[in-house]
Amino acid sequence: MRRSITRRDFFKVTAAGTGALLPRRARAQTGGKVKISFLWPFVYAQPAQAELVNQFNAQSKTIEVEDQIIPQTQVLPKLTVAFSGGIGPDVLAVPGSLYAQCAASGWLENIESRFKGSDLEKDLLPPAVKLSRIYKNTAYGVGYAIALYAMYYNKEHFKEANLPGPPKTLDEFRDYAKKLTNPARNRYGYYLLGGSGWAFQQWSTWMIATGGLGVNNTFFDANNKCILDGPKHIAGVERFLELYKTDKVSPPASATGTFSDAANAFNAGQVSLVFGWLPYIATLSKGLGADKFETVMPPGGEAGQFIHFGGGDVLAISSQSKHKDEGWEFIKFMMAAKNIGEINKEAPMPANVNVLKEKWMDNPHLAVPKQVVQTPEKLAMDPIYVPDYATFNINYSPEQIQKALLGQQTAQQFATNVAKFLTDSLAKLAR
Amino acid sequence: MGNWRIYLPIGLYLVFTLFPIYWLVNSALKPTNELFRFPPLYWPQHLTLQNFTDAWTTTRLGRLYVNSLIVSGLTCLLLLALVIFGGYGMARFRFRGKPLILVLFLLAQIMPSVVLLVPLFTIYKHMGILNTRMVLVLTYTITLLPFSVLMMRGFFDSIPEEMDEAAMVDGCGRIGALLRVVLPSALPGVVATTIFGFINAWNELVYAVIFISTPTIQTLPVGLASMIDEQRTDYGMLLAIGVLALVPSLMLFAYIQRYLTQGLTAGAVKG
Amino acid sequence: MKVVSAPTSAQPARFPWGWGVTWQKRWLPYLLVGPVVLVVGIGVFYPVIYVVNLSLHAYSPFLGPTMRFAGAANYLRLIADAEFWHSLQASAIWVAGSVIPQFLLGLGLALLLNERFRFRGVIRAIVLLPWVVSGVVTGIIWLWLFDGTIGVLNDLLMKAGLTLMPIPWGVQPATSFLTLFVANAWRGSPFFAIMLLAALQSISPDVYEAAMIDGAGRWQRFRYVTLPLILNAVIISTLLRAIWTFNYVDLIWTMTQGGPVNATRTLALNIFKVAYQDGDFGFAATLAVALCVILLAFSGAYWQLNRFTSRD
Repeated sequence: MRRSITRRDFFKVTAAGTGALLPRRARAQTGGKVKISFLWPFVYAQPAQAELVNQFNAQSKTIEVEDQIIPQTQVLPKLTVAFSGGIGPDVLAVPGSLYAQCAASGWLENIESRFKGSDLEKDLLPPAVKLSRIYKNTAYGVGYAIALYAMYYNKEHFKEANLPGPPKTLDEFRDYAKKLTNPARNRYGYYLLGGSGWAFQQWSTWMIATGGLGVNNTFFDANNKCILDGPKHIAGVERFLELYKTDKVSPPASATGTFSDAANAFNAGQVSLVFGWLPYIATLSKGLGADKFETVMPPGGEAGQFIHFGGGDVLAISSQSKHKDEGWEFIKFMMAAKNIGEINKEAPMPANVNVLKEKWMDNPHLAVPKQVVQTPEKLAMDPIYVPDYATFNINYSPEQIQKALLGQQTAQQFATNVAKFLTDSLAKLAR
Repeated sequence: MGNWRIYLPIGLYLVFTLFPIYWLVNSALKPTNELFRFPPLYWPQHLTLQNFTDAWTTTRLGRLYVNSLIVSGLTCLLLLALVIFGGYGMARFRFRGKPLILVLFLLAQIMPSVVLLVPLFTIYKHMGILNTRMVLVLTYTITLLPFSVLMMRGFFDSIPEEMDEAAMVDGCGRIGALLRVVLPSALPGVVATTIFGFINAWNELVYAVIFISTPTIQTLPVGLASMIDEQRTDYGMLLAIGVLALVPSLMLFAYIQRYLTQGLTAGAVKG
Repeated sequence: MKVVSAPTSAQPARFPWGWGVTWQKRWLPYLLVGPVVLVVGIGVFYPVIYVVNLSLHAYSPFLGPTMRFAGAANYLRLIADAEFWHSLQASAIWVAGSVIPQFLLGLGLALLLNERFRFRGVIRAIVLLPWVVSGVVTGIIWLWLFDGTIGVLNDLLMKAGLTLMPIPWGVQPATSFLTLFVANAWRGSPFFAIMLLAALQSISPDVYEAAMIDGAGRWQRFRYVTLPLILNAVIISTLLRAIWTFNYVDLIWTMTQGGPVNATRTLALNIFKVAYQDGDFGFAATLAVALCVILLAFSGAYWQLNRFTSRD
């Protein structure tokens, strides 16, 4: 088919192209309202937060909120570029693992004066208040969700194996896991995480259950040294490594497995025990079925039984924002009990005390978290406030635990490395 | 036709190509609690379109689609306009500075996007075009030009210069020769370049996230990647959006692939 | 009667401002190529200056906006950095294992699609599908297919009796790389297929006819006719594809995150992690400069091959 291009075609294309290339701007300000932008980098509650934003815009006569959902994997590049260019979002929801880092970068507005003594503060559960002030004991944001790291087990598998209930100690855990493991049927007792993202909470459970925590339930002693390289802690992590290396109660692939992999395996009925943050409840309910598993405390040891308190997500105002008062109004709205409850339905533990009484919190899966959140001595304070926590979580810890699991270093080397990293990182804070 | 030398390899390749696509569609049609069975389900037990309806309504997929179409389409137009003339210039003329231009192109290809982010952001901010679709069109054009120009040059190279001369003898200028005679013969090359530009613009994520802050002009890849965070992946939505994102491209290519055939130069020089 | 004269005279001015002959001959190429150079320049000049400047400073946006001049400190650190050298090795493996299969598959496909057969049109459209699937979705699907505990491939392998237990693909560097290569070959061979097909289509069938008349067999036609004529396209597309693959992070990020134990942590991934997870922009810039130098050197060497086939 012969198709010759005439001069007319050429000019048509050029004209169309030039016309179309004129900047198409997003629609400008609506009415006389002040416009502020709100950044939401989470998978959970995307429709819920959009709905709340609409409600706010409808009821407010002076403020118009424009919310933008971005992928969490791109949050750091986006914020780095935006803030160094001076045009970050006005209000942002900050993931817990990045909170301290964002505060340290100077991106977040110091809201201590607004927060102290306010109604917001009064209605928050103590862990959430602690979370808000995690960086240099000053509030740079309002914690709206509390991240707890619980254990989940498959009820049907347990019934099949005639096990009375969830394991309460490390020894019971090992015992049960072995009983639940049957490689021929491709069934394993436990999916331990070696891949990126919160493997730390898993192996450290073994360490602190055996060796205990430091001052104020943190991972550091009175001299600001990390406690994880003590002899009891090393013994603890050895027990953990044994699960993979000798007892083989975890699938071989799990040494590099991530959170998603663990959830997938659990949902497939391949493993009977997993650990995870509270949003796992929603993930596993959708995948396996809410009535097929239970949410409980991780196992304890000679030194006690703890549940990791990994901070949680935070609402913050940008230090570069030109509309900080309006941003604060919006945050107050979002933190109202009913609203924050909506957000947290699929998510971590809501931080507002009044939400605890809501009907939907009667979900049996939330029974243990509800209890724990009001008994602070069971909470292990994760070092989310050290400047390198994000790196530690995503890079350093997975690298180290993989080496240990795959036999490339001993438990002692592992513990020493990890402790040194955390000690050094904490020291940076003092500077 | 029984020509197994052709059909066998094609068949094998089709299996390799289509198996993951089949798995993608298969998974998108499953309710979430069937996604992770082992042994896996090769076809859903309870086939559902819920994922697709959810994706369409909760993510305002229609708007993301339109934005992606506009950006990709404009990128192709701008790319073609520059590449046709630029490639022709590189192919047919000897002039000073050509090696330097090649080095420039090479450097442009070599720069990793991580490095380009902040400088480009600064430039765009001063140009005042941040938060518009044009910023993406410009960025994609910048990143796609070097390769496209070189490829187009290659395609022009394989068209003998006698054709240009014949056309100019008939009364066209250089440009006329290009548009009337050379370009139609290089149509497969033009089509290939268009496809290349469209696909890359359609799927690009990082610049789309960083340069755009207004939800009304967000593109498809951003909506797709928002289904993943540190703690979970919303597989149902992700798969549904992934499948739906294929549709316009597939339609475009079904139409455009016929232009990959030659048949336009036969006899043009001799006849 | 038409007066036959020199091609560039005796013609109506194509553009309103009526060019003279010499003017057009001298400036036309620059006018044609100028816009391209301008646009590409935006993406090169300032970024190069920026990144070289940054590599001479210690700058971490997470610790505050100040940049401290550090001279060559970053570069000294680079030379001593084991992770850097290791990432070079990982990058080399990554590029070779990605581009070679993609090219071979693509070439084979292009040759097949160049022949006439039924359903060719439909098949040509289908062949493009992997290329169109977004990088994110590609990574997730292949991750799923290769999953060590519940993956489909393991199921098929077990059903075929080729293995007793599911293979944990992500745990060993070798198998990790394999999963990456397969996924990348799937995604990338349509690229070569289309580019090479377009190149093949530019070869006039008369050339083949002449060869056949001279008695050349299929393989000889390919080797002495096809190959030389598409060599230009082959070299450019493989070089640029290699460069592009070197910088390609998405697939590795989705499928292995650089593991196991950093085995698949290529230089490009390293830069990304150092910049956005360690927050060390200064050192990341240094790595980026190193990357550019390496790729320039590689391209230079590669281009020497091309000197005999290019028209320059």
